[in-house]
Amino acid sequence: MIVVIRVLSRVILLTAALYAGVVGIAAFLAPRGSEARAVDTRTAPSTVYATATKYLMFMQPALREKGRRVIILGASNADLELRPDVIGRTVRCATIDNLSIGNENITELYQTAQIAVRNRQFSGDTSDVYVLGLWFGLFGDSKARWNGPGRQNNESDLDIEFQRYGNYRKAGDFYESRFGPEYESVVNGLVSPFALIEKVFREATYRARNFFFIRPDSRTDAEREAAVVSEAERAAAVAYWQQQLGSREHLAPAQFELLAKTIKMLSRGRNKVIVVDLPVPNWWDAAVPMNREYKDRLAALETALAGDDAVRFVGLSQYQKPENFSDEVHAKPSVATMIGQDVAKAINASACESTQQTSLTR
Amino acid sequence: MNFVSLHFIAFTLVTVLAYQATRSVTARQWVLLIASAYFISTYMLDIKSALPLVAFLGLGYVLIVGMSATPSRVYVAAAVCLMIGSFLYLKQFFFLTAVGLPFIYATVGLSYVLFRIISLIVDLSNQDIDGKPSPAAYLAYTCGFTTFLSGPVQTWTSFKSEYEKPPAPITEGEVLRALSRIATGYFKLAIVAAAFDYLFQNFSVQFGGSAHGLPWFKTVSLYTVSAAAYTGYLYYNFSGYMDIVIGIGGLLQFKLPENFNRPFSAKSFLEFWQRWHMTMSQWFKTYLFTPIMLTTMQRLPDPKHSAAIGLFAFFITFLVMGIWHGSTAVFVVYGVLMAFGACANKLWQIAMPRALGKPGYKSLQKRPVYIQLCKGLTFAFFTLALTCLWTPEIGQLFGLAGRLGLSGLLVSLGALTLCFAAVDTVLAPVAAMEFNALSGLETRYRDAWTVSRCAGVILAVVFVSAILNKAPEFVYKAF
Repeated sequence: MIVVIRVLSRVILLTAALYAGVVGIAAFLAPRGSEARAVDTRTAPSTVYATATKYLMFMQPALREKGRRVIILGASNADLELRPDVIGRTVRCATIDNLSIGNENITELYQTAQIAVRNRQFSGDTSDVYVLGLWFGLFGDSKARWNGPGRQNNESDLDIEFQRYGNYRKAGDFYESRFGPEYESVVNGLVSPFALIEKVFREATYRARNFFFIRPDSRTDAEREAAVVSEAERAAAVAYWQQQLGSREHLAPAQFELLAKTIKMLSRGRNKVIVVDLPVPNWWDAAVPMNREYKDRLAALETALAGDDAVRFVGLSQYQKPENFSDEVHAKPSVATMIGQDVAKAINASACESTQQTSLTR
Repeated sequence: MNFVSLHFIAFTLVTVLAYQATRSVTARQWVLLIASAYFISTYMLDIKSALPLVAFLGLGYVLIVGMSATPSRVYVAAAVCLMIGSFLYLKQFFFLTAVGLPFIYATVGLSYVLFRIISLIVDLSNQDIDGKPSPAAYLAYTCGFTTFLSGPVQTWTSFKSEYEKPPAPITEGEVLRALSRIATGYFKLAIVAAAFDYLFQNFSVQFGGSAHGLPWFKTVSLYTVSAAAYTGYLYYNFSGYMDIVIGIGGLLQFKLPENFNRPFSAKSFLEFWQRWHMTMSQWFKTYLFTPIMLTTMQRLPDPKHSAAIGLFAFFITFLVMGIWHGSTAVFVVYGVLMAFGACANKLWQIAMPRALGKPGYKSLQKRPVYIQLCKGLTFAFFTLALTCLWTPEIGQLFGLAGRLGLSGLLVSLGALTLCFAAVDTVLAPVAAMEFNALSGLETRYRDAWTVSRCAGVILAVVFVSAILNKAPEFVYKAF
């Protein structure tokens, strides 16, 4: 027995030493959430964290900085059309954070909102502005959106990420650090080698994966600007979104209830919420009944919240012409900038001007 | 209990330490029994779900104990049929779905328990083994945790000699060899097989389900690559599992038989089955093929029937072996394909010497191109037949076959044959090279090398499992 223990001890000690070495390398390469001033999920692919969900998990400390924040939540069209650099040119009274995650639904948007709220609590009494970039594609049932291997309980990408390493545990609707917030950075540092190794794998297999498995939209801005969406592409998009939404007819009512809950949670205290109805090409109205249902339900929600000064709804129907879009949902770069500027004005009016604060003070 | 889990590692560690802590044969046997009982209990939902397995084991033991010293052939045949009937009923074969038990129960490991019980009954009746096993030895043999899920199918004689051998202190060399084997197993199971599974999942999703509008050639290409990836996945998953259990056997100083011997170096389908899941193939040869041959030859002693009898025996054996893999109708197709492969191979072996003459056929068999094509065809045929294992519904299988068409299947068979032959031509000489300088170094620093390899594999398995976000399942436990 002693022989077995002796040999196993050597294996365990060497494993620990090797792991410590990788922790050191990861610590050297990874951006630190506690040192960053703002969060922008669009930068995730260029960091060691590679994906927006992983980036969000590791960069949470950046949201704990004191000072006013404008926090953008939504899917890939919010990421594209509500760019922090565009909004920041107009909105000077706050730091702009982009927490949007591509291809999410309202369930995941709610989880992202929880990340924001939980971390903002560290900076005391906040007066932040939450900008929700919405469209009907967000309102698919989680059973249709999050299924497949490893998602027995319809776990979202954020669920998967927060469950992956065992450093977080479920607490209420979301997750908390298993060892408490005081040790969160240390524990996240200890699991950071996983992110590093994943990044190395991703980089090493990037070309092969793109060739065989993934069809990313690698068009340049000029190509997107010149794009014309064909009938066949429209038909394919309709089929795709019907599958994503789990229905050819209806959106999930529970997703609208969750949106109302999210708005209520975010607008607590001195915080404000701006609900932006992001434009989609108007051919959707004839293609599926869900866009109409979304508009009706959003209008009903606006009516219900009419007396709430902390919540404002912004419509952008002037951009719905098909020629403004490079595909079925994303605006062309020039149009995206205009949308960002319009939303920035709304943020300014709601947040900076109403508080007489015109510049960022820290 | 997943093999790639802290639970399994802790379980193995406790079992090995408890086993090695004593020099008493009886105490070691009890450690094995308790560990096996605990291991199997992790696959049970509750006590009720374990009752069918308990009843199956009990029936087997009653039939063994009930055998006289010289049992009648009727008793032996009835006992074997009773066990097979119970097995078919409990596994809910597709023709028995209407008469199942009214509760959920576990059938994991049942196939291999059946193999062992039948071998005990037949060997006792043939007086190939001395004496009936004690209840404890019977349970350890049929339900030992290292072999419970999917073998290797150890013979009673081999098991008994290990089970009853006097304990000797384990040496550092034995521990290192066992750990090295376990590390190899985990590397195959959790990394190589997981990578093949990743490829399989990502390719197969592109032509399955709703992807019906794909051009024919793209469907055939994606199917071919998916099928090849699944074969890689199955092989590394299964042989990795075998390395792990054989390695754990090493830590318990309990020698288990090998189950794989470079199966894809086989030059024929029949040779392939002497290298793939060897202990199961040997079992079928001993308890099905040989009895069929002997019985039929007794009835048709004329030598002119011998070739037909051989084909008949191959057909039945491979058909049963295929059907045994699962309880749905798809596995009947799998069995027919296996039987077709074996019979076609046998017919070729009969026809070619007649066509070319014995020297001509021998000369052909030595040609490198012929050898590589034979290897490639063996791989390709097995790969296409394995489609039955990843299309669980018969409608799904026929739907896929309909989309591919005969021409698609032939293109796939040809592409797999040529690609395998080409890859093997390049890789086989490299694999056969002996790096004398490296092997010298390895001998000198063997201990440090083994410890480093184990540490590296532990880290790699943890990283890959976290990245793929799933601990790899052992696929063959479903069969």
